[in-house]
Amino acid sequence: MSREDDGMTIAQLDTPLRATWELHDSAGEISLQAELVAEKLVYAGLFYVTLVARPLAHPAIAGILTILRGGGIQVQATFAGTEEEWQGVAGLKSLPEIGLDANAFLSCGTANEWESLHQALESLRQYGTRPALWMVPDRERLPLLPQLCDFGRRHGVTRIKLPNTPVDASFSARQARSLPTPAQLAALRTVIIDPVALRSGLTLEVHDLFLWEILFPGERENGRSEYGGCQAANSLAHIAANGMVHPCSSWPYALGSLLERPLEEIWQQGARFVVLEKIAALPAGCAGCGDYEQCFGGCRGLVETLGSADNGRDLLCAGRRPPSPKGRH
Amino acid sequence: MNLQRNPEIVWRIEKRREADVLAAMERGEDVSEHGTVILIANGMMHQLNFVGGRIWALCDGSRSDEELFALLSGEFQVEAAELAADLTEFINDLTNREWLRRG
Repeated sequence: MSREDDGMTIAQLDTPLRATWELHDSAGEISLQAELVAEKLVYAGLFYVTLVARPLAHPAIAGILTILRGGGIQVQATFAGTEEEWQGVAGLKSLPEIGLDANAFLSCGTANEWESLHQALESLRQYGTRPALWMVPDRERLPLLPQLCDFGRRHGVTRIKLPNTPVDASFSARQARSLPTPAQLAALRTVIIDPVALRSGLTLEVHDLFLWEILFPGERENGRSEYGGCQAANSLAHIAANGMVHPCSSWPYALGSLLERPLEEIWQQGARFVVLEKIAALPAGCAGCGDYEQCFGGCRGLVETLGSADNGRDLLCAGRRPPSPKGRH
Repeated sequence: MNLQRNPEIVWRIEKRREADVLAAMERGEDVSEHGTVILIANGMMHQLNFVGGRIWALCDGSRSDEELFALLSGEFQVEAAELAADLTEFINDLTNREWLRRG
């Protein structure tokens, strides 16, 4: 009998462990047959589902939550503060864990924007929930990160999540230009003089490795425990509003439709293994990098979708790093 | 007091893997390094092998250590002393990690 802590091979998972699920598409249309999809996620044995794209405005949200929770799935939902979402909140007996979507409130970081975010936070609390703050660190909002941490601390938020950049089939060149750059990360590093103080009192969940390094300097020797490489199509999946299963929300590659087949079946078919092979392959731009075993090529979905000028390196990677002098790698 | 799984830990049996492991056991192969139960504790994913997973599944608060031992000795062909030692070590490890509790 044994227990394994690391180096776990999980390519043969029956189904993903967690998924994001869009309840509206980019045109604002609602996810169809949502209760059927919810039942399939329960049957597939997922642990966590994060509902995104104004989920609380979905007309079937109460039923969706009942099905997911009844099946033992832990549910989070993002909240962008639209009128329809507030109506949805008012109609629910019990809210899921809420991630207040700071991107919906902040662009330049004006006083009015912060005040709107504050008002939404306080209004949600009146429904008995303790929202986390979510912010996709795009080019426009990345500089606001220190202020977001201050805001969270000042207003009693304990958890801030900086998730991956979602991409759907309609992702345009304009949106691609919203991704931050390595140079912008380098600029942020000069602004964050005391990362420990910045994180004080907060739990930060950071998807991007290069941003994580800025916020958690000196912790690399302990490893980034929650990260063992890109989990797309492995322990992670994304469900689009049309029921199509994708490897993750940054990788709009169709694996199969939940409206047509169970997730267990989709997870054992060829399209998923194509994705796993792509993730396992060493990007040419990473060859010889001393940190490859830390980042494993980073966000493969964005590279696959948007292309990389650097032979497949993560879009936020500034370049190959020398091997560790301690021979750690 | 009986052993009970920490309710904050989510877990599941990987059915396909379990079927593969059972088939390998039939063939007399060593399956001790093959995980069949996935669990998430403190945000980290872990796996248990078939025997560990079986113990984990049985720790629902309804059985004493002696009852666990009796059940396992009926299911696995292992020397009693070896099983008792392995079971104690496994339980101690998981209780130290607060994955299992006495209650």
